[in-house]
Amino acid sequence: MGHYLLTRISQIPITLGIILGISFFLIHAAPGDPVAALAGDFVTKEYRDLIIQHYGLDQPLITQSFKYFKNVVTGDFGDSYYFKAPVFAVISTRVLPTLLLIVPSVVLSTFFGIVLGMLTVRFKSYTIGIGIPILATIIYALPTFWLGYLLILFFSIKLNIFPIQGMSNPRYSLEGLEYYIDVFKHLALPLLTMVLTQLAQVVLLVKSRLSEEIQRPYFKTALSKGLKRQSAIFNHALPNAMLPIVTVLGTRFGFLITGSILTETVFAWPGLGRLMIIAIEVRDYPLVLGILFMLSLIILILNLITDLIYTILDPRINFGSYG
Amino acid sequence: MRRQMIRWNLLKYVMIILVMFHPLCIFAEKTLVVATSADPGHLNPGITTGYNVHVFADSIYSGLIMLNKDLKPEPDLAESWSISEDAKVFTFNIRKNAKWHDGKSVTSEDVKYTFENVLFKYHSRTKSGLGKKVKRILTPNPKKVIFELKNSYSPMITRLNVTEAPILPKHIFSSGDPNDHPANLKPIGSGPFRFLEYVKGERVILEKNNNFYIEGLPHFDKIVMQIIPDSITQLLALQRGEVDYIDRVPGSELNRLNNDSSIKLSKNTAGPGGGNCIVTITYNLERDVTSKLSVRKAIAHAVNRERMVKQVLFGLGRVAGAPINRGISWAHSKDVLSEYDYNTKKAVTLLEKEGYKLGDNNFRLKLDIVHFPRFRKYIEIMKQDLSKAGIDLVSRPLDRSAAVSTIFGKRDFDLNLISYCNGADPDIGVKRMYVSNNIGNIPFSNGAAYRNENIDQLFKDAGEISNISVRASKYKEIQKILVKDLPYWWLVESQFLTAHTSKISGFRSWSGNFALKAK
Repeated sequence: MGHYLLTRISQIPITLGIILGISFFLIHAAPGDPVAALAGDFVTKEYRDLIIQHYGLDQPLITQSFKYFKNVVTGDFGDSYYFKAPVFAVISTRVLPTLLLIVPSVVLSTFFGIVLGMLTVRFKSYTIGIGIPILATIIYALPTFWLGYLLILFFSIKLNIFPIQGMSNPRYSLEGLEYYIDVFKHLALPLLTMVLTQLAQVVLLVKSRLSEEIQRPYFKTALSKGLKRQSAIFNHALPNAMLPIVTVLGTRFGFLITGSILTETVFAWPGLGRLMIIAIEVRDYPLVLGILFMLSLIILILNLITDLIYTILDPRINFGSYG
Repeated sequence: MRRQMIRWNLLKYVMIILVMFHPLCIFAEKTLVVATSADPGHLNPGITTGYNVHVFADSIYSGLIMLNKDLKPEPDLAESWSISEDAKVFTFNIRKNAKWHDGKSVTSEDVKYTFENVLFKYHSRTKSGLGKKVKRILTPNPKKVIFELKNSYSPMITRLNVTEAPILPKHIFSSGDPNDHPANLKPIGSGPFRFLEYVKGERVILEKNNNFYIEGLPHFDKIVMQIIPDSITQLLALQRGEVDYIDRVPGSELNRLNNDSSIKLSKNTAGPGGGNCIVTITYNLERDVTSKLSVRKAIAHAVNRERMVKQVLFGLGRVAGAPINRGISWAHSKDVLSEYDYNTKKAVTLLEKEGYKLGDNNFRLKLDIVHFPRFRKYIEIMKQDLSKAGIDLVSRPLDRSAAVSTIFGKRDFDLNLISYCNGADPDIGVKRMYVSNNIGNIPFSNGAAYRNENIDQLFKDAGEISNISVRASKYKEIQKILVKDLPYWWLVESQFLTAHTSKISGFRSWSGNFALKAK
């Protein structure tokens, strides 16, 4: 186990290096440069040359890449052109809001997805067995921003419960417990949006896996020895169905981070996704690469955690063979 | 019963007194919450013309003058000024009580430093507009600054507001490169509001400058500028009272908001970062097909501009009447475009004459158009209109950076669509599109590659004359030639719509310094 962990962790920097290398050349290959965004709506030739020189963009790409990676190895990711501050100073404040949105949404959508998925199998009734998956699929098919507006109209405008935008109240500066309650209120709608959009995937997966499991002989044995259908599903079928569910979960993190961009935009949530959009729009090369680095790191770590959860769920998986 | 009533009343009074003396009520600050779509990045208005910076920073800094609603100069940092007869010498008297937010006095040295070391290097509009015109800047005493120009240039005065020429503190910025200076993130200005905090991606907080040089202003204790990228979310937040002021509202929301009595709307032709904008088609005069005048005329006839005003702007704008915006009323040539009425038949005749016969696919001609994605609705209308005349329009949406390098760098386009803002004077935002020394890799300049020595000379003359009616006649002559040569096709003049809660009034929504008088 320890050996396996060590191997996996040592692979992370190599993977990150490859990602960063490919990204460097891709982002520089995109047409355009940061000049127009930095200057505003009117640019002179002299200004253009000044900026291009200032950021060393007039040098050959190979020279630029050597310089960049030399600095990266020493931990220096450069300064953001747009924010005029070190890349990680810009990124660091945005990581927590993104995680605050993604991690609870995965946990909640998984929990409710499993519960609802079990319900569809537990009750043979038509309304529940068909109704829940259809409803979940409809919500899944709604464009994220539209779903966001619907939730705002209902919860904020009509019921007046939750605030619409931002991470905290702009009018008062709150402290301590009041501040956390305020953040939680602001988190409610974006989190709900994220949970709803993921729910369908989990529900359908759980339903299809469980439907298979309950056909198996062991399930019939469990029923015939007198177990109730409910506890047979929960104690016998569900543990066997969990493994693929966790696998899908692990691969979902990557999609989630990109998927959260729309949610962040609609609710003005100050996460990494929105920062990435700005960085790409203005061709802020160091910032784009810094964000990609950070996102890759988060995804790699989360994937590692999911892999470790395997061992808890299924003792048959033996990590010794990896080493 | 009676006793109970008295007890109730007593309780009520006690409660009212308690509420009145609740700390929140006593110290309640007047806070203005503003929604804006942009994350500023930094807050130095001297090194960029970008809206994203100016919408925040123009409340922190000041210009020598400010422009009123008719874009005429009024005192700001300069309490008075005089212009020599020949419009070559401009003398400004700086307010005695003007102080930087750190307590130091604003002096003529600050003005001189700002122009010579920052604006003439990094503020591209002022650099190209004034940089080569100013011979020297004199500072006879700390409160007097004199600009000596090489030639007469009367528009100078309108170019000195906080958007075009924000004055920066020399004692702060002279210590390093203004492009990377730490004060870009912790600005010290002389404007009505002081910088308090910038939380990236969330908000910028400003507080009242208690030593502001105009007595009694500003009225608000605090401005919170909340960064909300989505315009629909901004509006919903305004309706719920989370924000008080939105500086750009999409025209599609006009009808809905008109019915809401708690919200007030105002239409403006200008806003922070530019004004008097015309959405314009650029013809690439270096391409075979678009170099033909009859093709350019045919396109002008084929496009239904009324429909754009209705369906894209939702009435929030007008069909362009001339190459210069109506907002610059003294220079605008009325109805000079009327010969190019919307008439598909005329367009077809022009194309037929040029030899473009209808092919098997019902098209006679294929042209591409490069544009920003946000202009796609204009493109849809153009596509439909042009196909009636047998022109197959291929849309090439590119993000801002890519579009700029494709249009002005690689010059790879037949047509493009850009919103050109004319600014307060034709010399600021009109000239750049037409003079021949602006051909080349200069974003938002002469993208058509239009060359006409006559036009070059006329623009030069018009910039040097001080008499406004003589200037006007020069610009009218220019417009006559432009309409004949048709290097561009001027579609619609767009307006900005700002919305705010009806509880607050006095916004100067045409200016970067919009909250100065709000109460």
